[in-house]
Amino acid sequence: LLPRQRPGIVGIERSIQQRNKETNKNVSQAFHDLKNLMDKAKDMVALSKTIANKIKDKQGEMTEDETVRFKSYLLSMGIPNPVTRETHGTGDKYYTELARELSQLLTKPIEESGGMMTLTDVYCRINRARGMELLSPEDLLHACEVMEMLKLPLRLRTFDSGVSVLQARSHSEEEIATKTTNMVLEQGPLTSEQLAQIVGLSVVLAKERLLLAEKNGGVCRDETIEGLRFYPNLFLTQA
Amino acid sequence: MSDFDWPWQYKFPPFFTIQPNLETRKKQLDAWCSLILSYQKHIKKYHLDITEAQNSELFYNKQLNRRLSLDAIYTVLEELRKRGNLEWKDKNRTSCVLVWRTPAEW
Repeated sequence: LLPRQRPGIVGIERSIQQRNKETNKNVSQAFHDLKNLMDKAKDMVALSKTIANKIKDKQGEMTEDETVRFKSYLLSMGIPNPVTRETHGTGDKYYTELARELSQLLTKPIEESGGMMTLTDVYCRINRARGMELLSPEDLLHACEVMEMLKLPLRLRTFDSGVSVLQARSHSEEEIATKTTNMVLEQGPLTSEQLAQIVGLSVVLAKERLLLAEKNGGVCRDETIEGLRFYPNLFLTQA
Repeated sequence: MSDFDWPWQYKFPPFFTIQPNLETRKKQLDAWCSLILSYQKHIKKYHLDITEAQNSELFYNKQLNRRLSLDAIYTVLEELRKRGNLEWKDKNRTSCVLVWRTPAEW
């Protein structure tokens, strides 16, 4: 491939120069192609915006095939255009399929881990399993948002603290609250870390459980510099 | 004043944290109000200076190493005022007068 080998330093230098030239050419070509691509993408963005406006005129006729197809165009271009999209067609074909896949994959592990999994855990799990064609956090969130509508065995839930979890539909909060209360009664005052260790959950979820139990009036809190500790709610049980 | 009969809540650490659960908090404030009134009755005082009271045994349980924070003290005292057992002496709410019985009861 290289021009005939010449001995000495000149030869080496020349071959290095040759190689540099080659890579330079490759790089500049790549950038040139990229620029063309971006020009095209710009056209696509402009086009999709006009289409979005057109759809706005025809508001009300939801889940038309036309809008669905249009949405998948937007997705493939990576244009986040939620406001105009949300009103035109509920959810998205891509997301519904994704939601189905997620619930199929995750129902079992979630039930095994106590009926609940934080969204970040779900994200780790699903992407680790995929290896290729990874999900973006947004994709995951959107897919989870349509689960409720699709009547899947899982659903998205956001706690008051802002932590989002995927929850098994069979999962009953009341039951969890009572269980947690009983745990506190048996073990005495608990911090979320301690509860996490006892039940084998993540600290975040253990804390949510305790807060849930507090909301139900089962436990009450003792806040000190040592930390937040939960006690059986004697205020309500003891006269 | 060691012969004052402390209620069980006084030995219960969560008593010193204002509870976020409304129902629980109501019970807690009830207990605090009656504790303050009976305590004042016991030491036979009508006046309460907030800065002084902060370090008194009423709001600071040394054995438990728990104390009611200043904000929490105001929460409790405001509750007492709503019930008609308390009147502020000044606008800055540094001291107050406590009545064991409300003026209506008198």
